[in-house]
Order: sequence, then structure tokens, then C-alpha cells
Amino acid sequence: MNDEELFEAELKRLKPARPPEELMGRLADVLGQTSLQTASLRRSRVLEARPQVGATKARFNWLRWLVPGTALVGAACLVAMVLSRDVTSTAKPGGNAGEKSTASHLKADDVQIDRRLVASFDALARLPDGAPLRVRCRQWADKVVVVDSGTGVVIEQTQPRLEVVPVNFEVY
Amino acid sequence: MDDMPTQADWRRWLDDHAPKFLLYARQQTRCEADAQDVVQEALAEAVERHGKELCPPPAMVFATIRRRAIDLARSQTRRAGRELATAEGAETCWFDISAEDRERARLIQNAMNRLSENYREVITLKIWGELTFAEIGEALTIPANTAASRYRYALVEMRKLTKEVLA
Repeated sequence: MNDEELFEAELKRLKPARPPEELMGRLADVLGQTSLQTASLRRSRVLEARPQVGATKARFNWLRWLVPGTALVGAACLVAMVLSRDVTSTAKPGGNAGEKSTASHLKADDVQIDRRLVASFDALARLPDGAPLRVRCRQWADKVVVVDSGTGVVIEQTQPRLEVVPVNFEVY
Repeated sequence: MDDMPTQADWRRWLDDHAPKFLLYARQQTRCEADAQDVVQEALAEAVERHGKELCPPPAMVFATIRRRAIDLARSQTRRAGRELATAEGAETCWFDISAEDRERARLIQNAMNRLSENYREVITLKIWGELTFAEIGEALTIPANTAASRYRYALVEMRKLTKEVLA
């Protein structure tokens, strides 16, 4: 064994640290799913939106705003639905007094918003001038939970969301 | 082997390879959270591309980790970079360490950090990733001979950096 081999052996004695159990669980989820489309992978945190990557891709930038915008609109609609139900129940003529009382007291005191990564994949598109454009697609499931602890009412809504981000070809 | 891998097969494969993937990802990203996310995304992509019938080749996963890490680095803003650099106060240990190996592990990790990126990734893929030079070449999109010569230079550099403690 020469010096180089001895040194290599020294390095090989060290073993890479085992990943945290939380990550191992996430990876097992990835491998254990029968289809990535249905995999439910909880992200440890929310990644920042990616910046613009080139002038030719600028036209696709609106997509990144469309997607979170849709989620916000969905959440707003949900809250509006809860509020309008409250108003119509209260204003209904001849309504049961008990119902009226319950509806008028429906107030959301806890709203939880959760984002789950469902799938992540790359796709190739062509611009009108024929230039290729690679995009990274992430499918998210946005869940909104509205809780009125006073009346015990819990409203849950889950909405799919597609995040599309152009990626530079130079990366490859 | 025609049978699809069972849950137990996947688990064993994961136990064998996840530490190597994370070690490589830690060197390619700026913080632990990024490294973990990159490993998860790369694994999902490799499994999808390779098909569910077989475990993906480690070389493919390493290559995907590298590409995802480059994408991520390009996408992060300068502000985020500063925040990440500040958050890196507590350094993650890259290796499994017993009491007698702690000093050795620290020394090697420091030396690895001081190596150039080209050398560091070749050393990692060869020693701990257990890839051949051909596979390393494929993962890094360089010829196998270049990978081999880079590896030899990297070993020399590493030896210089760890001379006082290691043989």
C-alpha cells in the first residue's frame, strides 16, 4: 500500500453522518409512494420565489404571480362565504330564532394556512420563435382551515396550485 | 431482478445511500435546510425519471443533486444569501463520529471546506459516494480521465491540508 492508498483508507474510515430522522421520513415518503402525483411531501420551509432568469423568459413571469394569487383569492372566497352565510342567516325572515342566534355568532377566530408539496418535475416548452424553454413545475396543495371555537365549526378547504418557474438552460 | 422493490428494499437502499447524498448536498448548498430540500427533490426527480421498478443509480441522484443545487444557488437573492450566511453559525457535522474520531472528522471537514469546489466534489463522490471515475465524469459532465486526474490532485491537496494529523 503506497502513501496515497493509505491516505484514501484514512478518509474512508469516516462515514457520512446519517440524515436526521425527519428527513429520512420525507425521503421514505418519496420512495414509498406509488405515484409522485399523489405524494404528499411536507416541506421543512417555504422556498423563496425564484428571480427572473432571462429576458426571453420574462413573458412567463406573470405565472409566478398568478399561482399565489389564485391561492389568495381562494382563501378570500372562503372567508367571504363564511361571512355571507352569517349575514343571510341573520337576515332571513321568519327564520328559527335559535338558528339565527347560532349563525350570527359564527366568527372565525383561527385561520390556518398550510402548503404541501405534492410533486416536483421539470418540463420543456417551446417559445413562439422555436427556442426551448425549460420550466420547473411544482404542484402544491394549499389548505385553509377556518375555525370558530365558540360554535365548534371547522371549515377546511384544499386547493391544488401549480407553480411554474423558468430555469436557465445554461444550468445544464 | 424483475420484481419491483418492496418497502423494505427501498428502506435499505435509503439507509445505504441517503447519508452520501446528504453529505454531497451539504457541500453544494449554503445551508442545511437547502441541502435537505435538494436531496428530497433530487430523489423524487431521479425516481420519476428512472421509473419505480428499480432503485435509481446513485450517480444519477448525485448528478441531479448537483443540478438542483446550481438552480437553487442562482435563484437565491443576495439578501437571502446574507441571511443564510448569518444563520450558518452552528456548523453541521458531515460525518458519523465516535469520540476518538471527532478531531479527525473536524480536521477533514475543515480541509474539505478549504479545497476548491472542483476538488471537493470529486473527492466526495469517489471516497464517500463510492462512484467510479466514469460515473463521476457522467455526474459532473467531464471526461472520466479528467475526473481521475482531478481526484489525484485533490488527494495531494487534502494531504497537505491535513498533514499534521493524518498519515
